[in-house]
Amino acid sequence: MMLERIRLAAAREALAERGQPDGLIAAVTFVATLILVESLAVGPLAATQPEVASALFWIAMVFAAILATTRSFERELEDDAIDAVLALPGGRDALYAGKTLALTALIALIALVGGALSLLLLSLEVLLPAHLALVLVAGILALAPVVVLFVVIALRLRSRAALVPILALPVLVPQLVAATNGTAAAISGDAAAALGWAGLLLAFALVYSVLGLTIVPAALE
Amino acid sequence: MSAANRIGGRRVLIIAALAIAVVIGYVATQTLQSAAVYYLTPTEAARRGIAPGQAARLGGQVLAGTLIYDPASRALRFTIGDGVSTVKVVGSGAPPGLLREGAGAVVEGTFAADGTFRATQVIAKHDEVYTAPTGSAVPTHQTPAP
Amino acid sequence: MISTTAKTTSALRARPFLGAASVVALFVALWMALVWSPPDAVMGNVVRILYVHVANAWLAYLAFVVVFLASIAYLWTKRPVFDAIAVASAEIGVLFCGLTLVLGAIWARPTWGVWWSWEPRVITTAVMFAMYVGYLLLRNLSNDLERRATRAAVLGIVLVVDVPIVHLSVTWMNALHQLPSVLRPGLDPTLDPSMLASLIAMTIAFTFLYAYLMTARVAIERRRQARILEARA
Repeated sequence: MMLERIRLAAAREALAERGQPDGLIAAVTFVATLILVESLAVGPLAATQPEVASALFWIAMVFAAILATTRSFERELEDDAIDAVLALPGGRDALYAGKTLALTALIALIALVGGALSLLLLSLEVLLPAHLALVLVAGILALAPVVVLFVVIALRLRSRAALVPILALPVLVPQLVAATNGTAAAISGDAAAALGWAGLLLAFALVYSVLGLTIVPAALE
Repeated sequence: MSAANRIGGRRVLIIAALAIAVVIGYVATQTLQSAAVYYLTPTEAARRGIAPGQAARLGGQVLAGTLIYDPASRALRFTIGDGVSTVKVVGSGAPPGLLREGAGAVVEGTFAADGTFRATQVIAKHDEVYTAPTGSAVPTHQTPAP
Repeated sequence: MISTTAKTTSALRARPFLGAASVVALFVALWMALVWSPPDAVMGNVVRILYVHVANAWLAYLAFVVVFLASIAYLWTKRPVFDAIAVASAEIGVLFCGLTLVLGAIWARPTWGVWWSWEPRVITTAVMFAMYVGYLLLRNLSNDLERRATRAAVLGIVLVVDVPIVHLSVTWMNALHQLPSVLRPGLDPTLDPSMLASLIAMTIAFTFLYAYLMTARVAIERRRQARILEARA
């Protein structure tokens, strides 16, 4: 019953996103633009180093994730049907889990397209594409629950646009370090390191997903 | 359903998930022991093939008999090692007071073409052992190689 | 109506005792740290910063763990006293964490040679400081008691994950900061016995200070909560 509700919540979210694809396009454009501007700022020589390029990409991804998640929850605020869902037993948990799943998929999509664009823009040659994909997935799994959590916490506050990055970025520092190093390792061919960092990211993903699923539904209104 | 019931009912699942996460995290960190984010030991630097001119940060133990500082020319020379490889370091300016042979050091700078390291910053590393002064001038404990 | 539980009144009665204990313990600990304990064989009298720096760091860990526990307690029981405990401990924790960073910088200059370095222990501690400043910021943005407390409780639970990361950062990777001298596997301290005694004395003194500040701050918060509830009625 619970899984069915989660699936429905996720499907509802996916439909809403499909109906308004400008969100996805905006986020991808955001990532590409940010990377372009950052690489101009640090200089072309620095930007093509795997470590720098990875850092640029992941920081852009954090902001893109915050963008997409905030848009999604703002939509909920405008949509009064949500109150009926929240009133169901287990409704909050299903709604939160479903939204998190769908948003994770959306952010993964942004990462895929944005990542491909970045590799093109910075003309990077990836030595271990399979490992890069793994690190990317693990990184998104580690990133998304935290972002959703903070957007939910700050949802009904006026200054949430500033508050969410202020709250989320310190918490995401270990994940950003792991994702940046893992991506750089995959690009430059260090398979063992890439796998190690991906493992660490998965551990973080587990911890924050469980934490989020446990306590956030209690805070949802 | 009260918050208490909701949280209690899934306790087993939560504990299992967190236990798995801890295990994965532990294994990952063990694997990543040498994936130095802050500094590289001479062996790690050699393995990574840091090119001359590329900014790097090295860490190691200052080898005995290699620390030379000439106040007139402000030239500083010493060799750092990690028990396996060594790197000659050349810097300028007075070294930090705690820089001694047998103690740790972290240097920032670039490799020169001849394999020596041109340090723009020399930082003395202190280990976690603190002892009262004995009679001799030189402390008896040494910073182990990282 | 905020009910004064037996626990609250006993805490109020304990406050003068805690205040006196803090002052006495701090005097004793400072004497031990500055006069009684020996200088270090390597860095001389500079080592004396260690006693306050490390004690502050430990108290910051303690304070943030208390925030975590109080946050869980609030979500479980919805009793406002736990929210008061959480905010009080967070503020004191931020204070101790900030002091740790400042004293660390002062210690770093004569020992490492630099005021600051982007190395693992320093970064994670600065991040922990930023996190809990964010926590206090979040609280300040709302006056709705229940919603603010719920939000803060969620955050208080999530943020504690960083505390073990801060402590273990130096063991996980190559770092400039030294390895732990006391909280280490095997629990064999690498401090001279008289230095260890001074550190423990300082920690006890700061713990008394923490408890004293907690009783004062929790009382203030309970009064604020009562005022808001009265204004509603």
